[in-house]
Amino acid sequence: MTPFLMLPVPIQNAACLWALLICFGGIADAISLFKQKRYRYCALSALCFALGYFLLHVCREGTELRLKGQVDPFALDLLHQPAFLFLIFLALASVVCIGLYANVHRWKTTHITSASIKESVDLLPAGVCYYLEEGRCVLVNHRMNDICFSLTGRSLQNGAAFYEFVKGKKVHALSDGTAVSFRHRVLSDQGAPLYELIADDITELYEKNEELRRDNEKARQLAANMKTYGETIADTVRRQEILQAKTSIHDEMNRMILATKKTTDNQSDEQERREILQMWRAQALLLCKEAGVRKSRNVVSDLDTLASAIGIRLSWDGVPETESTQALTLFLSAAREAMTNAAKHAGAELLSIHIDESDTALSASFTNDGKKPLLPITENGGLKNLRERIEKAGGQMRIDVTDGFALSVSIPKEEMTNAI
Amino acid sequence: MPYNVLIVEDQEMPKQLFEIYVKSDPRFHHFASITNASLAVDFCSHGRVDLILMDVMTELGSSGLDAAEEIKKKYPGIKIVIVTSMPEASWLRRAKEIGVDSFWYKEAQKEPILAVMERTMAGESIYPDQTPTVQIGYTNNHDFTERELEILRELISGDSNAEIGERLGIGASTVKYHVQNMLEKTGMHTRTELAAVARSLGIAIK
Repeated sequence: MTPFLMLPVPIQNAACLWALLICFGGIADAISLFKQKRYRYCALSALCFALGYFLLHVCREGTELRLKGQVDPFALDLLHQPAFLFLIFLALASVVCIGLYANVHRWKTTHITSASIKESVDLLPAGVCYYLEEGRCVLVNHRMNDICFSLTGRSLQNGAAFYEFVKGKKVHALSDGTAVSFRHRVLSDQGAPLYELIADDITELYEKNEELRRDNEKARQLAANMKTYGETIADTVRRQEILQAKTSIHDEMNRMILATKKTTDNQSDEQERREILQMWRAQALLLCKEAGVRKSRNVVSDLDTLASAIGIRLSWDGVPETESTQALTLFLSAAREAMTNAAKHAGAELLSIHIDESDTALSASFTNDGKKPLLPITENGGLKNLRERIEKAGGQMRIDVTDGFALSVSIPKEEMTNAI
Repeated sequence: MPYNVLIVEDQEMPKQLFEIYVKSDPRFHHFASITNASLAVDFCSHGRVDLILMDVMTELGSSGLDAAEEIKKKYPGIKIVIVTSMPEASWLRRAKEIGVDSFWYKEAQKEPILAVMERTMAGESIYPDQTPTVQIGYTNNHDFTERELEILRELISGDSNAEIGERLGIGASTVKYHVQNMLEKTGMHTRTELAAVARSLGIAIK
């Protein structure tokens, strides 16, 4: 049987390398098993390392013998042992080493450890932090550390302090464009409490909410525009109708020009010429009138027409200039009441209207030349209704009968409520 | 003896045109012209009005139909002809309900206003068969259902479906469904566009 020393040098070197690998394997297994707190297996791997080291030492002594010609007598005895014994020990140590390695990994997959927990929470998309009452972190994943760094500029050291920092806002936008929301709860109520702080990634929800907020804002703007449009549409329609009337007049004038030409060509009689002239006068009158008559002027004109129809005269001391629909509507109602009173109860022939208009209010007083009321005025029906509407609009109404029936109103120009 | 005619029209040119028509016919006498419908009832109580040509939308937002209703209650003998250019369907229906004698569309009706006035004074009630046809997008006003027109009138307020539904006594989803139907019919893209166009054409006026 060939002693180890007689083996070719390359085989001896290969055996030396094999022993070295066994040493490293033994150390790695021992460290892993020590971490897993499996001390018996740890001792076995230490034994494996020792065997590997011993064989490495013997192989190295063989090299020393070749190079220097002298060696430790005990090692020399070993070097003269049969080569297959070396191979058997090397193979045995290798099998043990590989077996322990496999065992370490199998154990990892079947047992939960703090490391595996940490590894797992690091994979979570949410930020996770568990801390004790004084703020010391027990478990923090990478995502929570990133979030903390993004929000505070520092890594997460104190869970309680970080929670104090973030609890003021529901949603936190991070520098990377994502948005997180924090949840916080106490996990144990016996002994020292453990606090859980979870940061949920709500970027998609946040973006959708932002989009919804922008859409709502846009919708509110559109609704406001629509309200404005609804308020101004009457004027728009009026302008359209004026345009249509102008078109109608244009057509009428064309027709009249043709009729005039026909009249002049055919030696028409006096009657026909008079009719044509009358038509031209009517058209000229129409065109001379201003198309866009102001609301206040219409109110004055209507009241004059009504007064004329019911047989009293109006004496105007100033006229309303405002275009406020509220002010003019309430003024018109007051004037109607004053006119009704003057005609029906006082038998008046003249109703005097005094206008005093400021930037904010239209004030008017109505007095008549009729007889004084014999009894105190009781406000009911029209007068009661008028007072309610004026006061609802923020105005004032006063009735004085000292020198005859006198009605005074003050109406704000700006609409407060839908009083009219 | 000519009939006294009161003209209630807030626009100067149509008012002048009506005056010219009335003055040109010896059967009628121009009694007065006013711009605010709420004053018409005062003329009826103090004057000798036989016939009123009444616009629907008059000065300061005063409704010709409201005034006509009051006049018909107090003075049923006074004839009223509603004159308007708006194809709003509810006005035609309401005019019939309150007993208005005749209804005349300013631009769309072929029969002259004087003929309508004459026939009205002779005791006839002259109403158009339907509102004038107005094109809106790919369709026209007659293709809308009653419910759709109701919703269309509310859209101009700019309120939400829920608010409109609450006013009409229907659900927000029903309002949404009808609005979607109208958008599909007209080919319009938004409810704002639909409401604005419908209002400006006079199809739906609240």
